[in-house]
Amino acid sequence: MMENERDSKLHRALKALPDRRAPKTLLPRVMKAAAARAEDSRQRSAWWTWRAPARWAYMLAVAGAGALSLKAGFEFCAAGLRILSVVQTLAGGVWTILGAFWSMGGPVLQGLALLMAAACAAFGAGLARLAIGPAYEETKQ
Amino acid sequence: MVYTTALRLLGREAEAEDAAQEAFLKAFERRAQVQGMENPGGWLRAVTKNLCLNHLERHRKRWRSFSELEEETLSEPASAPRSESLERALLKLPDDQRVPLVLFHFDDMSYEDIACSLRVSLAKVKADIFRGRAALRRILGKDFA
Repeated sequence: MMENERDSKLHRALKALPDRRAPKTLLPRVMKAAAARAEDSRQRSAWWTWRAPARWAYMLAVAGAGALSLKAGFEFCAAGLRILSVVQTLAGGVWTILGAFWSMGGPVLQGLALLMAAACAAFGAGLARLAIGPAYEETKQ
Repeated sequence: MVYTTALRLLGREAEAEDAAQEAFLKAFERRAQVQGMENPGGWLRAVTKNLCLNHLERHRKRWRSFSELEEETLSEPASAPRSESLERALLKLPDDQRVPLVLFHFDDMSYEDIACSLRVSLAKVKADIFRGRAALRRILGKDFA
């Protein structure tokens, strides 16, 4: 929207301005940056876009790593099972020994428990009569 | 064309070179897409313009105001050829006048579109373009008076 003839004249003069030549350094600079970017994107690209030898080498490496992982997994499981059976045997032995001790000393332990209960009851009765009872009576009065 | 667009919008050669490089790299990255376009030149120009506007938006605080430049612009030599002196005068305008002026006269954008692109008010765009033209006329003398 030109307000007047002066603006139109200026507009025409501006539109008629020739393009400026880019500095000579711009083209090599752009080419260098484009090459660097292309190399960067090639390095970051997905493996199926790589060149055939690199692709095959990558697939072989992945397959090898997978096979090794599987083998290591099986070995680990087998070792775990062996350890488990040893632990089970040890636990069985410990259980047998504990059972034997119980069968030998069971009546003695029961007697000791009864004796301890009787001692606790006597102690409680004594405490009530000598200490708690009089104190309670004092608070009532 | 790319460099000229960038230079007219940014007003500084080093920044214009950077913007032009970035525009060409964008074209390089989308080369398959660009090759199929009807008007790749127009696309490249639009990309350049957007890059420059984004750059200006990021560095808006550094925009030079007219008062900083008034003395500089008034010292334009009268002997230079008309187009050359017009170009030089344009580049010497402060950013807030040159950018809307370039968008208006070279990209044929409306005042409303310019205001929207620069995220400023319509009144400011009109005032800046008016002042920019007046400054150009003052610099160029009686040819445009």
